[in-house]
Amino acid sequence: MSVQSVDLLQGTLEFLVLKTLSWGPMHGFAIARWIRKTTDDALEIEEGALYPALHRMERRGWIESDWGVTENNRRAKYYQTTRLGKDQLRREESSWTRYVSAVSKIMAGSRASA
Amino acid sequence: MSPIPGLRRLFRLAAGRSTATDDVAEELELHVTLRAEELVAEGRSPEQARAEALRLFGDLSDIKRTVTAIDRERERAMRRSEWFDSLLGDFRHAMRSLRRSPGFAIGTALTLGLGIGLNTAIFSVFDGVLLRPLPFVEPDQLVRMWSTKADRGLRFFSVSTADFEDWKAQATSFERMAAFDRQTDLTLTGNTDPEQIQGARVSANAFTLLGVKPALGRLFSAEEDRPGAPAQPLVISNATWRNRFGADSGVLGRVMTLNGKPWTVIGVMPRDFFVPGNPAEVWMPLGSGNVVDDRGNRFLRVLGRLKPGVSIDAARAELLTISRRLEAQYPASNTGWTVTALSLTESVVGEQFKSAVTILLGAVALVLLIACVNVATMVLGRSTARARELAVRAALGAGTGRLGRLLLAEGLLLGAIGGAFGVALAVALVRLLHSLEPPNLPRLELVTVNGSVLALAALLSIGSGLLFGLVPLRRASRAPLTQALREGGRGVAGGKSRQRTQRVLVVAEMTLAVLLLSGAGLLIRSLIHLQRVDLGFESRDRLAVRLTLPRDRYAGVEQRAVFYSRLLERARTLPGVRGAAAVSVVPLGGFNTGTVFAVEGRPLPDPASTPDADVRAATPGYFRLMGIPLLAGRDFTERDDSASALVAVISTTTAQRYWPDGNPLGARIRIGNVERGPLAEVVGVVGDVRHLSLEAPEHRPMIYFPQRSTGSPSMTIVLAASGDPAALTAPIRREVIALDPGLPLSSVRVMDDVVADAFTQRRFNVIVLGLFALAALVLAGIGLYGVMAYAVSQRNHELGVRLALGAQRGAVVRMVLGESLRLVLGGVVLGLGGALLLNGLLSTMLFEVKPNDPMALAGASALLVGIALLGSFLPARRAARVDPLTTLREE
Repeated sequence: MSVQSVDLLQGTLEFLVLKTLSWGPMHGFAIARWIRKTTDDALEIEEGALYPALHRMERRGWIESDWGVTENNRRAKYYQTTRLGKDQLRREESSWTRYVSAVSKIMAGSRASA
Repeated sequence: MSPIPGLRRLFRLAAGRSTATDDVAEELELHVTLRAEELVAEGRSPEQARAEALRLFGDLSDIKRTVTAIDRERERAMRRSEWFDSLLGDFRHAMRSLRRSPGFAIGTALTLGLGIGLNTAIFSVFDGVLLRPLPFVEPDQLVRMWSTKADRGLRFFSVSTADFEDWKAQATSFERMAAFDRQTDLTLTGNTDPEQIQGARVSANAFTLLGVKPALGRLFSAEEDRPGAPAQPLVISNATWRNRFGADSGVLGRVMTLNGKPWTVIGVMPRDFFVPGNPAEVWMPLGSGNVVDDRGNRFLRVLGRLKPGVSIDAARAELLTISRRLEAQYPASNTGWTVTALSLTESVVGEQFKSAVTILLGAVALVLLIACVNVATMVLGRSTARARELAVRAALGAGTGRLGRLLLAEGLLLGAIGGAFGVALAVALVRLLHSLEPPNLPRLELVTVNGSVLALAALLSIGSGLLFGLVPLRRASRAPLTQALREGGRGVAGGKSRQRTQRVLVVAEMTLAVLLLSGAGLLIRSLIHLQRVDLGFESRDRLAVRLTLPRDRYAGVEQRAVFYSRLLERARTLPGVRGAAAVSVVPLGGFNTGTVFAVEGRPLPDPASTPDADVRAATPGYFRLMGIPLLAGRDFTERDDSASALVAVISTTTAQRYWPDGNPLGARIRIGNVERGPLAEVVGVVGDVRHLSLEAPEHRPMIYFPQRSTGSPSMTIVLAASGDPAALTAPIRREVIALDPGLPLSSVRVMDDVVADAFTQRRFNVIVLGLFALAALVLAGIGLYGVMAYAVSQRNHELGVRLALGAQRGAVVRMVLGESLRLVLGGVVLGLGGALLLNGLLSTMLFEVKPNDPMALAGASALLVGIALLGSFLPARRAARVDPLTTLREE
């Protein structure tokens, strides 16, 4: 993965993590798997890139972590969104929706004029 | 997941750095493992799966590094914010805890505030007067010199021109010497009504010697300083420039008409500049080198700048050698005359101020000592009461560091409150100081609560805060936990040794308070005695109006005499005026003139013991107007003038000293020069008057001459008013202007104020020492209250048992009061002993009061006992109100 795509994807990745965690606490691997499944592998990122994002979000106070035990009795670090994270998600959702609707309008317009 | 979110975080905080790294490794490893398992489930071999998982993950070690770095940063931030949070928490806790015991909080803050406030105020005086360097270049090198004739008590006398020139030529210790004369009243005319302005003549090098450059324009050239130089250049003070020229930068070249002559402004001095010992508003050239032949005519003030490396002692020795040489060379004028040289700083600050400062320093140190003892007592008492609380906290796992921070926060909070109170007090005190305008306090305008003063206050607050925070901490960390838990809450009487310490401290406080109170009492008694001193004249309803006739327009004795009789005639007709007369200097008017004299027909005494007397010129009716009794002979009349034979009226002291068993009336005295001076016949004897000081043990001899004979140009008109004397100011000014529109009044003063000024220094001393004594008294009261209140609260249980066993409430009150009275009496006895030892230091400031004055000592003791009873009354009442049931139930 090239450097530019990291920058490009940074915000998207955080958005996806917040979205994912809105279903409940998850450990890193579960988050990665969930993103992989829901995006049908469309986002071609190295799986390791998720972790700096997680820890950075934790530093910002969007998510918090705690050690817990997986269904297979393995010690794993679980993440969950905080109030701050939920607010952030809401903001990003609305701005994303605006962005998408704006882009789709432009797309619709250009198609009409063509 | 852990059931309590956040608890883990605390754990990891304590666990430190290595765990953070391990956590990251474990988290990432888990991901790879789970991914590999998934791949195995898809059908890969375990080895292949792991390799693929690692490949999909990316650069494992790089990511591990990045993530660890992020975590570390997060932990640092967290630790910071937690530290701040808990610090805030500590302060909030301290606030709550102080609010729970408001008596303690107010008492300590008040005590600290008093201590800090007084010290801050005194320090602001030091800062302004002593620490701030004089506004000259290398002021340490500057020296002021005087002629001195020890046997006449003339220590700081002016210098004759001839002596000055000789000093200048012969002394090698000095880089240069400069001279200036006494400032004189000049009449400024021109734009407005004639005004009086103070001017002095200075040698051209005086300003350069001080190292001061003008703010505007230039200084005198050596050319302009020559005698008979045609130009009339003028250098003006910054205040004159601002007040009279509106700080106009175009002032150079403007002309000021002084005594009828035009002077051209050539320079303006900087704002804080002054010529030491010379409060002039304008300066003109001295005309140096104009050596007056008469060595006995001493009117110059002399400044010198030492050569680098020369000590003032060396310079003194050299000047002494020179003065001995001059003595041998000119015995007629210089016999007995030596030189006094003081560093400029010393001469500006003055010896009187130094002694005042010493006493102030002593007083303020005592008060601070009392304040510290007080707070220490209260903190000790409180720490005893809190021993249990602290022990419980320690038992619950609060570390010594945590407890320390808690106590420190409390101490700092107390210090801060006390400091704020102290600064407010200091500001108020400095304002009071300015309003008192104490005499002999030089550079008062520089005394302000400024940055460095505030810094000291802050330092004192923080220092005391730390101190009082740490005292209980030391106790808490030393006391064995179990013992504190057992006895802390309801110990029978606290630690015995602790109580003894507190009591010793309170007795010390009382001792100091008695010391200060008795000192203040002595000063107050002195002031009262002084106010009963017989002035020898009547000051009530008298107005003193001073004017000076310019010699160029009033050249002859006759002219000056006529002016004053005409003015007095007109004044007597003014409504509200009961009488008018004039004298050259009113009693207590601030300066003096004197002469040597010899009684005709007696052998001439040797030159060293020639009789001398103060002299005044007076108009007929002056004695009656001032209520000075005529004891023998007659008053002056209008016929005693320059045409008739010279007559004199002498004071009782003059008569008794020089005619101890004869009648002075009709005797003739030669004045001014014992061989060639004019003769005057004694025609009257009047009562003695306090002319210079209220405190001198005996009167100086005084001789009055008729103004019509002497033609003195400077006179003070005294008006006796039938109403408010100040109301006569405008009418008399009109009469003066009617006679001479170009003549200003140099001063107008109500005589009562003139007299009151003679008390100013004493009143100032009383106020200062009185304030300190009051502070000490308040502190002693608070201190005793603190000790007794804690003693009672400590003994709640004991008192409860006593009451339950049938003790009378009155007996309990008596017990508490009796206990505090024992402390008070101990303090009074020690304080009186100390006062008898130390009050001798005050003897120079006392007047007709002995340092062991029983009234002052008894008054101080009674006041202290009263305050002490007040201070212990509340605790005693609380002791009597102890409810036996409640205290016993608390078991």
